[in-house]
Amino acid sequence: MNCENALELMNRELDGALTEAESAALRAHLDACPDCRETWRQLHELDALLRESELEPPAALHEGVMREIRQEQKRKPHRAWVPAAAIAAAAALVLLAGRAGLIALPGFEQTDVISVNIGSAVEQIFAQTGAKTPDEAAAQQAAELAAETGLDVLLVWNSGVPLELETAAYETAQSGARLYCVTGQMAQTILDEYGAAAYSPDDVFSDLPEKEAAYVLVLP
Amino acid sequence: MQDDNLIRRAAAQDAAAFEQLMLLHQKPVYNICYRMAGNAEDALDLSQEVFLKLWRTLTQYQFDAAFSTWLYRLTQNVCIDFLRKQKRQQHVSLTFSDDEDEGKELSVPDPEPLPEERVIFNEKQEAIRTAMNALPVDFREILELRVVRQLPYEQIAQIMDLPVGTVKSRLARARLQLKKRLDAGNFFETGASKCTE
Ligand SMILES: [Zn+2]
Repeated sequence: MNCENALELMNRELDGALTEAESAALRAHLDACPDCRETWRQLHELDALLRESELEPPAALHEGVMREIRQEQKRKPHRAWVPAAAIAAAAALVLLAGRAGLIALPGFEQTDVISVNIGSAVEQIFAQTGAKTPDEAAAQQAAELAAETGLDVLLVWNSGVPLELETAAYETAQSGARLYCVTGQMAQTILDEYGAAAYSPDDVFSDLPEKEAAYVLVLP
Repeated sequence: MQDDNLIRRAAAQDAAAFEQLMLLHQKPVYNICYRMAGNAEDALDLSQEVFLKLWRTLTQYQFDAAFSTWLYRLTQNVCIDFLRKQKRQQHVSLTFSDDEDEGKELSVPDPEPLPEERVIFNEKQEAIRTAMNALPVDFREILELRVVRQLPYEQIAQIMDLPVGTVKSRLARARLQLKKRLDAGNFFETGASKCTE
């Protein structure tokens, strides 16, 4: 083995990537070659010093990021989308009465209920944007959709019926979906409690608790 | 694997889950940023940017690669973007090593260390830090990923988008170049002669 081969082995030894035979060959060369022994010592020292030079992140990192995130959530409380798969598996949708009043929901008898099928709207958005998962483009399209219908939409990710609604009255659609009418305060609670990933076309959610009524659609 | 649940909750914009996830991963991210930017002030800004980006794009993570691979790639990209912008603003040459050229120019100007940085470093570590800053950015990155983070070659190859063979050779050249820079400053006290094949 020449010194060049030895150097290559030294590097892989530092990375713990030598076979036993290679390791033995390297040792034999090092025993016979003082130059390589010195290089060997130095490379080991450098690796050790590099590892020791690791820094602790300053507290400002974590604090700054969380401050920004919490402010962002206040400004635009619910711009995010949950993954499409999660929606398909089990989802609760909160519908708010929009500026244009209540719209009919397909499958429900009442004509004064909002007529946006949020489930299919979400699918449509994903189909149109080609996004496998919700993203900015999808959120943008949803914003436009909601603006067109004058509807404020809240999307709550949940597996099953929110606890708060277990004893509440609801209407049932043929699909088995349930529609609950709740107070704005209750909608806010459900959002908070269920880690709601939801969407609003504007900052309307800041006054969600003051709203007289909000609709919660729980998909089967 | 225990991250998966946190990741899913954080992706659904659960800020508390995201905070936990961040606390678990902030040290490597900060250190990669520090290595690539070369100073604490930029490292802080860049790591913050990484985590805010993570918060906004976490739904794109598909659990197909290791989360750390995904996160370190994001970190690397944020840092490289920053270095490119800095290069445009300051007309400083940002060198990447390639297989012929070992990168003679400084990647980033070496700024005065901030006061808080001085505390931790003894002389040798200060010398290492200075020598590291003089290496091309991909040498600094690969040394951080392999030597400090101890990631396997294959994962480094995924993060840096390189063949595994190139990872090995680049790592070897990075170590040698770091050693060479330190040799010039009498870093190794024994003063033994160098290996000359
Ligand atoms: Zn030798």
